[in-house]
Amino acid sequence: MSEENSIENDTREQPSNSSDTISAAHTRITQLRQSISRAVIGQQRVIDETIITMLAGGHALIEGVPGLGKTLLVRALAAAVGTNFGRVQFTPDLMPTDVTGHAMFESQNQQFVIRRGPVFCNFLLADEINRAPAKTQAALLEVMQEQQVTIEGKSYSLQPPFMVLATQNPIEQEGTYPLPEAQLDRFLLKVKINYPAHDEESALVRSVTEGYVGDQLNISDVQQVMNGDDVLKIQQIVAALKVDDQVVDYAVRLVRATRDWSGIQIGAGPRGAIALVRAARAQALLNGHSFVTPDDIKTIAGAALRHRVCLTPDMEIEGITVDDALAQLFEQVEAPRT
Amino acid sequence: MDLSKIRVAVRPRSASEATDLGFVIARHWWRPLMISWLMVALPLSVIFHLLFYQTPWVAGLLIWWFKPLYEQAPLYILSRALFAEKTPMTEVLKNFRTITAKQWFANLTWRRFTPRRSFNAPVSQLEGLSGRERRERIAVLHGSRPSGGWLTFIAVHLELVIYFSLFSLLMIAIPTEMEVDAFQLMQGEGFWVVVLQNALYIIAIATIAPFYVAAGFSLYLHRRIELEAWDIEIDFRKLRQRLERGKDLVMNGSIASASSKVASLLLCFFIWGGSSGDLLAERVSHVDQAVKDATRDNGELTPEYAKQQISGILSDPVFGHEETRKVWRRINEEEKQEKSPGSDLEWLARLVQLIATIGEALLWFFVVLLIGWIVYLYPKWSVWFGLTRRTISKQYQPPETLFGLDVRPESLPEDIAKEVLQSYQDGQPRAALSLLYRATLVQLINHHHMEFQKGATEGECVEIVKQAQHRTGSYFLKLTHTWQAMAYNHQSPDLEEMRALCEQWHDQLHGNIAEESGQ
Repeated sequence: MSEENSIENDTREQPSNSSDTISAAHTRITQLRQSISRAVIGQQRVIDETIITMLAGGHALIEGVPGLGKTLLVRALAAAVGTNFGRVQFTPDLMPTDVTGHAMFESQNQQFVIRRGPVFCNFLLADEINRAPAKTQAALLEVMQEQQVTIEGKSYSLQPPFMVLATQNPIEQEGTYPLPEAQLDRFLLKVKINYPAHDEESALVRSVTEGYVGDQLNISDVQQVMNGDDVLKIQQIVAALKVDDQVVDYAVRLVRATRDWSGIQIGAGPRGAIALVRAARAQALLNGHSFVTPDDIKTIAGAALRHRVCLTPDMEIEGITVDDALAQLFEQVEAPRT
Repeated sequence: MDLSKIRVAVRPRSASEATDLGFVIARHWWRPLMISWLMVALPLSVIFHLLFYQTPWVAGLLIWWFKPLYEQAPLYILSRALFAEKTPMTEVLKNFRTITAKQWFANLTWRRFTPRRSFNAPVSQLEGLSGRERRERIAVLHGSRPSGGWLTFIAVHLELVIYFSLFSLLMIAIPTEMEVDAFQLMQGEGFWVVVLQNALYIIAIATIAPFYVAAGFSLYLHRRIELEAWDIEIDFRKLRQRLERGKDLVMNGSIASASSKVASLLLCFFIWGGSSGDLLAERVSHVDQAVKDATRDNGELTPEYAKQQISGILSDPVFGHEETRKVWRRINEEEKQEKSPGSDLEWLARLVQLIATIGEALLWFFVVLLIGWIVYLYPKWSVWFGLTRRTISKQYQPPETLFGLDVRPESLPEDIAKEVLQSYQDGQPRAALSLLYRATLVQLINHHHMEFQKGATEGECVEIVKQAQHRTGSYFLKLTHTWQAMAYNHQSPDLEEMRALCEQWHDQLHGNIAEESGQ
């Protein structure tokens, strides 16, 4: 990493967010976006929302049909940040200890040793999280919340930055264990991956097939542009971004509106507003701003709230999606101006 | 047509009884009817499929369309069988062209959709009428109670029931492992799937066709029985035959066919006159003479002449005598009949009438209300269901308040730029920028008819102006950024920046206000 691009000096010496700090962080984030984009072609909004989740110190639930590059996205992110990457394929017979780790008796030394699970990493891909039973899901969600693992009564902290990117398939619901609303609430954003546009898909096919043997995920073009410490620094910058009372009030009004909207059966709780403001801070930095605007709130509101609300049955029967309902709702909530 | 040979009991029947009799007839001659129907339908179906192998649904449509053509051979067989004439299939085949060629074009075009097809078919096919004669004949036959419509309605539904039943049976018979989707099969994708559907349809209509044809023909026959008094004629014929046999009074064929009905009528009068066996010979000879008198030399009987003769006969003392009979009759019976229903139930009838009137009025009221409601909600629904896009209305009504701001033009000071700079210099940069931003919004809303949703953020407003490709786009973007920095970052612009914004506002937007005040 070149010295001029490092933000370490900026952030350590200047705890408040000066314009230089913001600018340096924004530059680094832009480099991160570009680096990931070399592997994950198209899907810019998905990349942005994943980066926002990382910068806000949250976890993301990624929903999309198989084959859209969810694993590639996480691996590219881990490679660009230069951190550990772990992956767990959730299956119906997966046990909590398969995720967190367990104590094992070692006959040579005649003592129990702790074998750490795949959760001990920086970026964990929990593939098809809804295929594992509730007990295993709960074990992972506890790790997400506490950022520590308890094995045989002893707690082990996870190395920050720690982020879980859980994926689920929206079409194959047979034999799955859908995440309960209370657990969905723990994800900062729900990122939806859709099929790429025609041009993007053409570019994707070309880049994956030209000069490569087999179908392994190719992240060789992804350059490391920051390290784990940089991520932590940027997270601090994000946390220190200025949010005006009006903006917080706007976020709260949006969340409260979901509770009174006729098409929504269960609205978002206070954690929704918290997640919204946290994510909006990261969104503002992604845009290169030193403060959060209502635009940042509204841009990220769909991803922050779509998994925290439940539509009424009649809306579902009519084929109205959560995103449609939220978009209509956002149109009705007055944005601040005064 | 020899009525004496008819194979069914001839008597007046109601429409439902006649239909029922038609079903009995169809059951009795089911085999020839079915064979004759299939004889036409199957080859045509194969031809249709060969012609339209790329679009087999067209073949299905044609199979349905040509139904009147298939029904002509069964009707031909039925019309002969009812009068005890055997019709072998070879004869049907021999006369096939004659049978099916009759008015085929009319039957397959403008007459195709008549619901009384089965009733009207005998008029065209058996009576051989067409054009105006046919129309008049059908009008007479239908009279004030048209028949056959309900028969078609029910037959169509029964066809559908059989079709879907066969389809369900097929689905049940297919093993689950084959994973055949009934819905997809019903939608009919692929040549053989549509052919299968067409085959099931042919089975369904073939099952119903003999009953439909026979019931329609039976309705037609009974209407003729009713109008032409076939039953009376047949009875008289039988009576005459019996008399002829009993008293050896041979009419020697002197009664011409044209006068047979008059003879029967006169016979009837004589018999009702209480004739005894001794007088019978004399009276029948008298009738014979009367019939001879009633016919002219050429044997024709004109209505006027017949009337004259009949009135002459009626004035005969045989008919003219008077009888006195004494019978018992209840007294005051008529008064009771008049009083009892009226006095007891009149109030009920009035009440029912009143309720009916109120009900009708309420129904009309709700219909009007429903139409009004639909008209009122249509714009909303059309946007909701994506039928129309929400666009800027031509009759745009600018709002008075937006985003909590007063956006009426009259709410702005006269010289906005001067007021803004004054506020800024007074140490109120936020108020100054707020006024400038509001003034710009007022201009965009009221003079450029830009529509902003109340939930639109600053960035979305910029996007709307940008999409409209308005000349103020870049200025509005700059102003918005300055406003956002002030509002959400508490970062005040410097004086130069503020002056530049005011000057640009003056250049780009003040002209509209000046123009408006000039008008």
